[in-house]
Amino acid sequence: MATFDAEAIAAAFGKYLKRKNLKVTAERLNILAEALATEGHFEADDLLVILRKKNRKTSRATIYRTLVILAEGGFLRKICLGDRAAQFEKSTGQPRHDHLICLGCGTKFEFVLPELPDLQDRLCRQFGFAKSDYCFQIFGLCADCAAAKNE
Amino acid sequence: MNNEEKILNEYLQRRGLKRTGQRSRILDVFLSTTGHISAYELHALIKKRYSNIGFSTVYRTLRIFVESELAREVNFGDGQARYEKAFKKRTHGHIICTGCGKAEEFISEAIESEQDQIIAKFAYKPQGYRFEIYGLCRACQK
Repeated sequence: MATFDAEAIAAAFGKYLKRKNLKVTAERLNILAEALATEGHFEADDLLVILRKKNRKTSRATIYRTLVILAEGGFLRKICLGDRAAQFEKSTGQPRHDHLICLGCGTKFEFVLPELPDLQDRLCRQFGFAKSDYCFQIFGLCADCAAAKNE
Repeated sequence: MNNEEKILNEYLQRRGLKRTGQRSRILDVFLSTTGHISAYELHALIKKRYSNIGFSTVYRTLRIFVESELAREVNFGDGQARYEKAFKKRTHGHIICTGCGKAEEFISEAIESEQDQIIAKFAYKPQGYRFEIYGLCRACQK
């Protein structure tokens, strides 16, 4: 895990908010700090629990909206998992990766496909698109869930 | 009776739901669509021919199509669920314009073989994939 400077990211987030004509509030900065301190995937409700434990009163709606702002600004990555709640993860300190997800128990594995960027560039040229983002997930059943389903 | 109707009827029977005229009319209209349609858009089409079918019925019937694997729900990141036909249709990727919401479909052999390798590596049983590329189409770039 590469180290990164939380303060520098907070400063960059402050600038980003100003550019978007949004206010730099303590709540928003707190949410960013907690998001950066969280390893792996988390959802809005996980942050709510963490912030409540620290007696930092922030509403669920504020957390949710701030996470969306952070994802739009590229400070976090949003992972869409179909019908489950949206999850987020840090976008700094780790290379872009994708997920293999078990539809039974929700277990996730990360993988990196080195060919993916080239493939997307080819498809974008073919359709005349200017690429902004992508979303790639592989779904399966892990050995345990597959066995349970067969029983 | 076409194959899709057979699948629907079998599913309804299995779930203890009734075969109704409205459900089969909704299926007919859904099968006549192409691409990705939201429940609202489908309801608008249905209303033209059958004014007595309400939105809730359309929405709930779409959920039945998804459960019986006649339709697949797709989400293109704008918060609106869309549905595409799934019967005898190969899994494919989507390239979506964030400007106008239009989505094109593509099939990539490369992605399919990569997917097989990853699934095998983790000893998972494959259940499909989801691949969406977001960007701006030619018209929206101008």
